[in-house]
Amino acid sequence: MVKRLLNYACFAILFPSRLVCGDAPTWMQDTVALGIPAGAKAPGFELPDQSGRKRSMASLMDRRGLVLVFFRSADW
Amino acid sequence: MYCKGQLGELQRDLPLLKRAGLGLAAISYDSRAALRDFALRKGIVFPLLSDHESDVIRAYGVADRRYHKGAQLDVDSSGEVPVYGLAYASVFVLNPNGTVRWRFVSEHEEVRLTVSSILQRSLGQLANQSRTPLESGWIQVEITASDTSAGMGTSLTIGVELRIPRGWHIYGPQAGGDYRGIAWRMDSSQCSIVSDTEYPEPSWEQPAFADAKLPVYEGNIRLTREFVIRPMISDTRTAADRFRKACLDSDSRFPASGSLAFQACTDRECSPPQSVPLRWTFAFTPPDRERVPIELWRAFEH
Repeated sequence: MVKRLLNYACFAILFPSRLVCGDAPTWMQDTVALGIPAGAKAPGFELPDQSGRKRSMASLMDRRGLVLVFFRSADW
Repeated sequence: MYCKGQLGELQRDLPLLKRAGLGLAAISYDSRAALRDFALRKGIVFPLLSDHESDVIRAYGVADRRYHKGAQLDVDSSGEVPVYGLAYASVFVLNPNGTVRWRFVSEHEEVRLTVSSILQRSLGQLANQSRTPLESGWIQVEITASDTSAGMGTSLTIGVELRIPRGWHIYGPQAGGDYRGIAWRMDSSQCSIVSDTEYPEPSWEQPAFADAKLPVYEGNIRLTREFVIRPMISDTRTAADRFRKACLDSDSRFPASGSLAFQACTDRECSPPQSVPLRWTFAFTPPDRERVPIELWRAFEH
């Protein structure tokens, strides 16, 4: 059975952007309720990259730190 | 769809991060094979990390909490896709000792930050890629933008800088009564969203002609705002056509305009109030609808 998630409850018909219905300064803001907070120790990891090489947090660090981006999908 | 554009932007601006002394890696729930296919197609050389079981995504607290096991999402361009374990679009800037220096997590999956805006927001480092002087008389006004191109959902920083000649001042936005405080007028529209203006703190002084202290700016000042191109949720051809008609100019660039009102005074006199038109244009990056080969599509959970 195919489940359709009502993900976009606030669908705008006129202009198809969810933002039309709750114009959101939240767009530019950090959602503090989600994710580990600033100042916290970030969990370590070891994951394969696109070429299969294992990468750890320590191996990715540059002299001033590391930018870690979580993204939804490189496919869809 | 939006994230794929972000990865291309990150790759393009990798030298800016290197110069700032920061490493870069991006994590998703995609398989290694899917990441490899994408990286080869788009020329991505920085590490794309495959967290196929979403363990790291959960450890960082950024697994999309709307999706339970077996959940599927209908993506216009791709049909049903499995979304259990999907990450919220987020950025963590880590210190060399592994603590979180700065973070940005968004429930709006279409929002994405560029390298320039990450540097600006996390390190306070200005990385404007464009700067345009305006015809504004003897108070010099320049407009700046953190990026020269943007796609739907790209969050960037736009700025206005003023050089106030010696002996002159302008009034802060708090000025009332007969004094014309500076105002950057720019509204959100069906095409874009702008945040409130960040004004610097004025100094409070009493010019000879005034009977109270007034908020004034002297020297060079910078005002900034965050700016986002509104994404379309529906990815149909009609929606894309409507967006193009409503939001892009005849060169397929994305324009944004506003105005800056202010009045310049010395200790003794004031020049007439001024209003300077402000206009930015950005190269527009359309959404990327291309998928990995079907045999690499993520399997549905059972």
